[in-house]
Amino acid sequence: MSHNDLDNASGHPDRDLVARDLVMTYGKGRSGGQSGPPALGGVDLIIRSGQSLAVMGPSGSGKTTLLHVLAGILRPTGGQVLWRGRDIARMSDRERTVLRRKDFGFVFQQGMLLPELPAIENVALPLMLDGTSRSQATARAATLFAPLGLSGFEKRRPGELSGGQAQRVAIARALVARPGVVFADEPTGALDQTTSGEVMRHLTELTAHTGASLVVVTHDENVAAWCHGVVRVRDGRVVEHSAQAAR
Amino acid sequence: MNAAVSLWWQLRRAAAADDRVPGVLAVVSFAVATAALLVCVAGLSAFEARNPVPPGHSTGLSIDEAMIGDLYVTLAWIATTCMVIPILTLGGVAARLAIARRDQRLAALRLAGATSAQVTVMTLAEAAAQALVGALTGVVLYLAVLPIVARLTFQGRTFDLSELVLPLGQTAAVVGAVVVVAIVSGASSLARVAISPLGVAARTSPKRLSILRVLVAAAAGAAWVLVITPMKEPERLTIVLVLGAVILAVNAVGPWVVMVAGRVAARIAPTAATLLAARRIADDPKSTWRAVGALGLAVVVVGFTSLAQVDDPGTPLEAYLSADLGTGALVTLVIITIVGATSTGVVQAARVLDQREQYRALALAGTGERSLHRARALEVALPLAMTIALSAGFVLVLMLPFLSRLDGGLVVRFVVTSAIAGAVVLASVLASRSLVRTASRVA
Repeated sequence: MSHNDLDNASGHPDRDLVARDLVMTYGKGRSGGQSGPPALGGVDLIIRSGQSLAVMGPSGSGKTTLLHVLAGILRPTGGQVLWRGRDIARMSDRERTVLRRKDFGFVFQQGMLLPELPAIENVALPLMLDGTSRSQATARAATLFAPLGLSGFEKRRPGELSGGQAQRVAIARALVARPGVVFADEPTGALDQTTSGEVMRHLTELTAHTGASLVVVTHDENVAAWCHGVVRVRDGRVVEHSAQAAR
Repeated sequence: MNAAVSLWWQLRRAAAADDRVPGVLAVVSFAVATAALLVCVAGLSAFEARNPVPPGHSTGLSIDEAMIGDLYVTLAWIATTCMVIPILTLGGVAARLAIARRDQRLAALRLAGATSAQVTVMTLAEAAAQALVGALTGVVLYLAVLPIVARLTFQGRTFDLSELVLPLGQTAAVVGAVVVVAIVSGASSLARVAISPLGVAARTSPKRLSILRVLVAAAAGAAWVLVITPMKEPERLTIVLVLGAVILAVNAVGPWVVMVAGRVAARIAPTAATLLAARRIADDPKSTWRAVGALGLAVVVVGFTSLAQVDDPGTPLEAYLSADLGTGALVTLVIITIVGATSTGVVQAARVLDQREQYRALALAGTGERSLHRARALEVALPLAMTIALSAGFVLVLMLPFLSRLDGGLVVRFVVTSAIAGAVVLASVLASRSLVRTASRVA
């Protein structure tokens, strides 16, 4: 994919996640009022289907805010986030909750697995919460353990897994509902370099295999090197947008 | 020692508002436990003062009245024995709350160079301070409810307030006992928590509770049958001691039963909310039992006493006794329900505070707030329903031989009263809904 592809194309509204002129100002709603400096100051971005994008920038640059707005966690003060033809920013809280459950997957820095559930049930949980029967949810969850190198760890509790293993379980949980986009916020922030590389390999391979897009917020160049594209954010604006050959 | 206490005081003053919630919960628990304990002791003292036959003294009253006066004191002791264990359990819950939520802070202190002894002093000082504040609040609460307690009618008359106000020495002794329970429970919790500079171990698969608990319970049951039943007129102290042993044994076997039920429920749970609830029950059956066990026992006591009321009392004394048994059982149930509801509410709130990051992660991943509330409610409702149904069923089965003599109205009242008590404990989960809302706020 070329630099121009990333920068200039308008994106396919049915397949891509498209952000247009995103503005986010904390302490100010769409109706106006007092505000601080914008956390996002007019961001345009296309995350193509099946592609991975790293969002980089110094602390306070707005990269996590950008991820939260793209994922429908935060409602932007201005602009649009288009997903499958609909503007996420205009959806109700309930609709955005359903969207996050069905269409998006999440991987956090610490895995955030439920300590009382074995690994297999942690992975099956999103499907069960969406009404899938337990046997179907568990069966589908089990298919993700071997590709992630977790065979034999199905019944282990999060407290009995290493950091890398727990993070791979979190990846399985993010992918089990076959989401369109996976959002990962510093997914390797708590891991050493070797484990970090392993987790990123699994994350990028599996998302590509399932056809999902991947957005990774990171400050680590080694992590960003696993993605098809890198967006650098400073003071709430995209200052660089480059394509690269992912590892 | 001085340095540790001084540092503890400085940290307390600097604690963020968010960090104060567990402290407030602990103080509330100590307050309710103290107030309940004072009401029990006051009631017991009042019955002893009313007893016309002090042991070893002759009396000019009729034999019936003397015997019934003595019976009231025995019943008051039995009720107090039933209530003391859940009250002490609530004190233990509060002490653990004072300790458990400080894991990270304690680990940070160790990293900063505090010795294990300094950390222990600081932690126990925290538990003792919270217990003292809670116990003093409990004294105020006890004085506030005395006018209501005084309106209860026993032996044909209400209480004078002076009968129920404990002497200052006894009140101070109860306050002191609560503080001691807090320190002992705190020290025992602290011993179980490895305060290393790297913090405590993460959650692993829970250990199964030993089946020895079942054998101990069976032995206590056998002691009841073999020791008390053959006695024609057992000593009050013997009854209280063996009853206490039976209650302790039931408390030992209860968590084991809850664990087995939780494991079975987890294996067959069809929905996410039921699975989460069942896993939590199986993971921590002791804390689940603390919430529901006392209520089960109270249901049994209420069942026997209320259903065994005399249909057609021959004498005024029998009439008093019949009515008073019902009133006493109801008072026992009310106190145990309040203590159980407080315990459940506090444990649930503490759990939300413990797992707020997981709650947020679930919410970010699209879990609705309703699902989170449903899982928490089920976590209490499943064992609660099981315990109440088993206890009520136990009473009704034992009463079957007397079915023809049972008053249908009393049976209905018993079932409804038990259900209301269960509903009150379940409702205590609602108290922490706002904490769930805050923890699961995504933006």
